[in-house]
Amino acid sequence: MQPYLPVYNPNNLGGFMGPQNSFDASDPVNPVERAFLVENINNTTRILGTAYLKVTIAPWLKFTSTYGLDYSNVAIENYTPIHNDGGTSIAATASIQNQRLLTNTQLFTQQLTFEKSFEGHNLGATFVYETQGQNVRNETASGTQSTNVVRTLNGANNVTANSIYETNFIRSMVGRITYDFNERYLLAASLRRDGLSVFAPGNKFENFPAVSAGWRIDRENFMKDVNSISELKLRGGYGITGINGVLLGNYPYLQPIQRNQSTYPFNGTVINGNGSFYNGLSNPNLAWEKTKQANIGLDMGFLENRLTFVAEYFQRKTDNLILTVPTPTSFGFGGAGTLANVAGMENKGFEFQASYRKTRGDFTWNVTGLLSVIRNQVVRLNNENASITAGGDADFGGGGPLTNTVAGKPVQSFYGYVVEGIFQSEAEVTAHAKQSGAAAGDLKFKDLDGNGVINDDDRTFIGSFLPKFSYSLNYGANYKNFDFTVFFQGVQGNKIFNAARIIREGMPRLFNADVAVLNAWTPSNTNTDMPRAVNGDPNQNVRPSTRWIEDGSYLRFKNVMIGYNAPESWTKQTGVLGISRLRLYVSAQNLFTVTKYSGLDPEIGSKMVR
Amino acid sequence: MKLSKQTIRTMWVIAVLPIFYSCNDKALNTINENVVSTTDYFKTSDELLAGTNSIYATVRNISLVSREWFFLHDLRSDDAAAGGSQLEVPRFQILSGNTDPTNSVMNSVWNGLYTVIHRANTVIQNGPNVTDNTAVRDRVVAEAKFLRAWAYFELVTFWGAVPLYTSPVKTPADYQARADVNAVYTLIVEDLRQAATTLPNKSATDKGRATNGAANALLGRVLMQRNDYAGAKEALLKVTTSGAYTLTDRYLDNFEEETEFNAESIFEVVYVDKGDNDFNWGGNDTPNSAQSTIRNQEYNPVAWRNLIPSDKLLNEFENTATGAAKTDPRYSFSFYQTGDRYNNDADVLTDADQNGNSSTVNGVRKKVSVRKFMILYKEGKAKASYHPGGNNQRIIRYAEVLINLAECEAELGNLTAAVNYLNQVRARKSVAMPAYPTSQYPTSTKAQVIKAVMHEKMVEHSFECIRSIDILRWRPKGYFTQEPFAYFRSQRDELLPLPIAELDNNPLVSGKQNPGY
Repeated sequence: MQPYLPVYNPNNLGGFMGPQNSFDASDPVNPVERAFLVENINNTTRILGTAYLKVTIAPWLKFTSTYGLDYSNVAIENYTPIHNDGGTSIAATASIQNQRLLTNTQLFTQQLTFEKSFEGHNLGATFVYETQGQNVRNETASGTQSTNVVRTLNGANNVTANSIYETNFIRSMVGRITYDFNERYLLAASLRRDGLSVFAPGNKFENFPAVSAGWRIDRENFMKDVNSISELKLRGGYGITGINGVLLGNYPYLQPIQRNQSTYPFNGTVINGNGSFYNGLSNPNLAWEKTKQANIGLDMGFLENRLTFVAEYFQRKTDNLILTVPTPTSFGFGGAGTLANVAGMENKGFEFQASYRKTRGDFTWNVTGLLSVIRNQVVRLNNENASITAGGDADFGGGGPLTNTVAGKPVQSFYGYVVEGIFQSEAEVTAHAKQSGAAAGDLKFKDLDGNGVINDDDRTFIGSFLPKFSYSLNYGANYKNFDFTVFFQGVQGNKIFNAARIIREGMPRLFNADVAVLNAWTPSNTNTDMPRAVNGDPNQNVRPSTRWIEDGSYLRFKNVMIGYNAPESWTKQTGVLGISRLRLYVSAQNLFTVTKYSGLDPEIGSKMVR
Repeated sequence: MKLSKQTIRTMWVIAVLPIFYSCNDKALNTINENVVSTTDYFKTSDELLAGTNSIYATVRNISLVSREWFFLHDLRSDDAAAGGSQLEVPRFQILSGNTDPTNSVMNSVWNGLYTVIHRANTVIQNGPNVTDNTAVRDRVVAEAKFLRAWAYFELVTFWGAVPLYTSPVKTPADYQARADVNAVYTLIVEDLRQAATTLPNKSATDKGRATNGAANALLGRVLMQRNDYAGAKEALLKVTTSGAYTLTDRYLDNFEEETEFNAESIFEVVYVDKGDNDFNWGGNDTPNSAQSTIRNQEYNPVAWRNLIPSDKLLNEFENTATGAAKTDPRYSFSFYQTGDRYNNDADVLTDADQNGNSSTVNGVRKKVSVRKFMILYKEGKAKASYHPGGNNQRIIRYAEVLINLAECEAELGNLTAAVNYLNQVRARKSVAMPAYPTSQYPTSTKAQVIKAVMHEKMVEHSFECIRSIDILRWRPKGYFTQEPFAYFRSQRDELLPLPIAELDNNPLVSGKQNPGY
């Protein structure tokens, strides 16, 4: 909203002031009005409970039965009164929306555990049978009132109601056997069979085997005399895991008819829902996504485990990754994709951890450093040369995709043009590859394919959101009743697409521009990386390009805490107050961040879904 | 009672056992009891009718006629100029010839048209399975064919050779390559011929549904684009001889809300004003979403005023100041300018009301804005600034059929017949312009009659999303003394670039962009 407009206007119904002038200022909204005029009350009642029974059938055989319940009742009430801010936000009737969301999850687990040791051989076995069912009922009702006095749907106009009921069900059987000899040689194997309702009929069940082995080298006889090494363990494993398919929705393989969900007012009369359609494809082959994971690790301890090192290498490979395969817009689904097991993806990496603990004396402390290096690569997509583009938004870069996923590159890598600089003269424009709409002061994009034309073939991969490595350092200390911790964390080598800068610096509209645009290129201000200010952006300087890509590396002082625990001798004397523990502490988060990223916070997620 | 451990153990096992047995595979076969699956629908004439209604809903939506479609036509014509710097970037890029494959306006129209085609294909494919009411079935299938033809004609007009889908997509790999332009037109003509024979007359249908008159009028448009003037004439004559249509006495009846579905209207897209300022900005299909059109905001002189008439259009109108016998009244019916009355003549439009650029009309600088389809004629400034409204967008009206017949006759060498058709349009009561030939528009040669046709069409049908189609037909014939687009580059600007989402996701189209992009 234009900064010179007042927030409030007592003469307007509702008391707020909206954007007045239709001249490019009517798109913004009064954010204070948005926040305070609309009431949103959310009441949640949740019951969590577990009941279990343990039966020791024999000293080496135990049975456990568990029942778990998670019940929640969410009631949401939305109310927007009759108001008129003199601008875009005008409501002649008050609107009321009620929603009730009932979720009920029940878990049954039956577990039989076997444990037996004889002459250094330790054998264990576990069998689990588990079912988990969830049902969700969602009821909504809405309507309008011609008065601000009545705030419920009693006597309301235009009342509409809807209810939805969905369920999902998981059934698992797990068998697991562990064996070790003198805790020196360790072996474990398990087999899991899961059935999940959300996958297509015929594909609901899947088996997930896993094996692992460990060798405590320090327990070998030949290591007995090496006192400095307190622990030395070599371990490795291989297994197959699935994902929580419920995240895909309860019926993701099914494409339903949108029955009476669209409307056309024949004869010019208001009708609610006289059209039916569908908007995508069913996938009768949707099945479990399976990830094969192998890892090998070395645990080392020195000086009675005061100094420890852990090193691990892992490789995770998914052969039938579930992806939303974008359909061509010519399919007529508005670009809505289809969920399918089409892709292959690989993650591999190292993790190192080193820590030292000082445990003796009044002053104890420990320090732990962690370094992890992960490399991601898409191995395969639905077909050869396939690409999955995403993130296009007309307001953020003109609508071109921000990311692209292809085989051989990290998933969802940023995608766009490469900026070579700013055209300083018409002669430079003419000398460069043909770039439609370009003039002096516009960005010069690189002709990557060298065909003399700047077009969509000149887009390339311009960085990944995935860091080259990430690290952290944790230090904790205790002195008598005082304790102290600090935590540093950082990532290195990731890129951020700073989309907010497109609004602030792209000069697309007459509002929300940053002062940085004052440095725009002009014939007399040529030493700048800010392109010229021009109506309509004929060169599309805002297009997704390296212009908006920033280094996302950061080192952050994440947390510091100083605490004091009152001595037990003191808490014991609190008598009727019955204080058993008293702790005073101060802590601070995100004290400082070292980064080159120009946005608000380099620890950023994906683009907001609008 | 004190139970022994052994007894408890036994009881527990008995209690647990049923859980094992009750949870068989059936529990995993959950059923979505909220919806009907695609295989269980479109079995009855009611369901098929609902399918056809949803095609109209897409035509009506933001991606098409309530916003992006009229923008794309106007931006691809020389009717329009930028209202000012408030015109959003992707729109200005089309207007200035800088369209690129990511252009969001163009992408919306493409997506909307292919959604129309998908929904139409669904109805056409399922039609033969419906037997409970063959009369309704045949009618709604014919409506689907009419709308599919309309969508493909829009596609081939803007993009040329486009992927051709004639049945619903079944698998994610059912890609279609760019079809030959001739194949696209063959389907359009076939669909319209079938629609014309099956669809009822205007009076026999719900207002807003396609009729045989609409199918024949559109067929005439399409065949003219193929230079088949004899075929076009034949189709158009079916409209004139049906007796169902006449010109309204009052020109403005074609652009106002109270006179929707009038005697001149052949096909219109229906909007309803629910009395609020809502517009379905998200474009989602929902049962009770707003059914308004945003056109009244986009072009309104006192609202956003994003596009205004071009100087070329304004100066095309006959005016006594430039030597015409009479000033064409359609000028003031088509445009608002400073000093005009609005709000049921209660208010007078000022320069200050109209944000942005001025125009030069016959050498005079003034502020001029679009009037057609605005509901400012009955609203004050405060309301009109934010009120989308429910004025129907007329897609085809009878005057166009007459001018198209004139063009067909001229092309076929029947100059007298051509001039007669033009003079019918000029004789409309509220227009009453002197009959051709006039001193400015003689009609003794074919070239002169064509010039009169081009003039008459421009002043009669400005901002009605027709000019962009006419330009494509007249340009290759060399009819323009001056190219309509200042930026025009041959072998490029005849067509728009294919949308990036299609190039990225359809492997058969990938790498096959239109020339010059």
